[in-house]
Amino acid sequence: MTDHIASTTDMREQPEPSPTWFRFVLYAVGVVMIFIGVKGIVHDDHHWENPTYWVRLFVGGALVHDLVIAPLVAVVSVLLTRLIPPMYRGPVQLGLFASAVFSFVAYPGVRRFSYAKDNTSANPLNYAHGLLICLGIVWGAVAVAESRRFVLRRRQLRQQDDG
Amino acid sequence: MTGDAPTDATQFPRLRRTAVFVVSRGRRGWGILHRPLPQPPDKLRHGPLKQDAFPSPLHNRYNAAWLGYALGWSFLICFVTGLVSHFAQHPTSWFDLPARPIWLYRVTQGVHVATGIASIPLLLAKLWTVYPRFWDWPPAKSIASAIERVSLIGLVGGAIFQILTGIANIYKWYFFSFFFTPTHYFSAWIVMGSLVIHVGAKISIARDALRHPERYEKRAHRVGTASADGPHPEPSLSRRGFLAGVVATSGAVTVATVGQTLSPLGALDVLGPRKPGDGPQHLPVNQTARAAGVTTVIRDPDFSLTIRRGTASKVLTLADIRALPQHTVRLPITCVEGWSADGVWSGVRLRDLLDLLDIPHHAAVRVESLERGGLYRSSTVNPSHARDPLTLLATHLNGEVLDADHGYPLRLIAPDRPGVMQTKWVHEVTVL
Repeated sequence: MTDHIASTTDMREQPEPSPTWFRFVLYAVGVVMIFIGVKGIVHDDHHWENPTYWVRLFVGGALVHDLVIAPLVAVVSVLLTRLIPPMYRGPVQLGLFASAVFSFVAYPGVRRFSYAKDNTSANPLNYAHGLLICLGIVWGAVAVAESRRFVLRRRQLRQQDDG
Repeated sequence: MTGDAPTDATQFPRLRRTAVFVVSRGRRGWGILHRPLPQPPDKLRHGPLKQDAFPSPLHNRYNAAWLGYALGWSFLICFVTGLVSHFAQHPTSWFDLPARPIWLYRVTQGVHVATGIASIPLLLAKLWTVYPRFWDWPPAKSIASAIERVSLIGLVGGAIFQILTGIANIYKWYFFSFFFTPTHYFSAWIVMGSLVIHVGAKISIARDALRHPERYEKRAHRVGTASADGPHPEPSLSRRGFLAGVVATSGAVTVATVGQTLSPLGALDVLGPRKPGDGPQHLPVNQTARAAGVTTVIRDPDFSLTIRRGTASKVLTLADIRALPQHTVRLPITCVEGWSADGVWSGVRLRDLLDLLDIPHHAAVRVESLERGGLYRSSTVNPSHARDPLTLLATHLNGEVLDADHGYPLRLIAPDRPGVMQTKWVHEVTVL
């Protein structure tokens, strides 16, 4: 979803606020909460098959997002900027975003990972069908938004020509 | 204390010296933490490390703050409702989920899962908005800033971990090699602790960004200036359009799943892991009799229920139980995975059974299943639930003898308890 629009300010250049007592109270509360969590994870060892698995999944999630998923999104964004004029790009960007979210949520159901013959009430739906319905609604909404933008643009250009 | 009384410092010079030492060392340590680190060579600044590598005006403080607030509230709701679920399953001396209102756990757990699902688009949008910060240059301005950046692993990694394992759990997809419930619970403490620290670090600037968005917005080129996109002056997506799209996605994905507990939206439930009316006797099942390994033992013609109080006990056959006063109640089964469904249950009141041995009203009891193993083969019923007139050892569901998968011949059904504690295939009740 990267736009080729120049910036005059950048998020990463904003100054940080100065420390306050409120800030340090929150730091202390946060550290205590993290301690409770880590202590619980470490002590709850009777359920672990592999103690490092949690760490790998916990840290790995952040790394996979930052080093794989986010760069992929950036590549898709660059492709979009090349392929679609900015006027029509926004709804497509949101459509792709919503599609990714629906696909993520539906993924375990679509793949039928937990399908059990003796329990048809667990994951009873046709999730591929459900996902298609959701994607159909999303892209239907994108089509409506694009049509609206097209009509508005035509009207705007006509007014400019008349003017 | 009078005016000429000696102060603590003059009375305790050693204490004063220690205090001065601690303060001076603290200041020195603070200074070291915030001392600027050497600037790395600029020739390393390539690709995403370049200035303006992420030129979208949507990567701005206002969006980050707005999404941060939304995500903060949704995580807080998830955390609080998660605590309710945890303590409902692990009662303590200071917290015991009450038996009334009977819909309380149904609401808190439904909200827990629905809010978790609603958080997914908010989290992804937030991570996208702040992604340029991952490529900050220099990577660390000081030791303090390096610590702050590393601490974000707890927040980002933890949030992704919670969402990923939460989604997998509701679909019963156990790809991980740990028990979900305690791991999800303790990881939530880490995520929320990291979030509280993050709020401490960012609250001032987030507030300022929400009050004065213009200060933090990037400006788009105007007509006539050089732009890769040609003569179009407007960005492809406005700030409001972006946030509205994220919120709409959040609402839509919630609507597509929440029908598993909110029956008026059942018709829109196209991705929910459960359908309330779907299952034996029109009620979903989490664990079948076959999976629990009880298919043979529950059909034993000599089946009996044993009630124990110390050395005393009473044994009742199914015929004995059916001869006791029977009651019918309408109660939901509410699963920790977020689905819930109403059932009409018939059977004998647990309190009537306890009265057969004159068990005191303040006593908690343990209900045991015929299952040989498993974490949920027994559950503790606290006095408020055990004595509640709605708490039954049910023999019938929706007018029929209990299906094996619903706990034939006897199952516990009580108001306002997690489904895993509505013990199935009950054969023993013991006073604790």
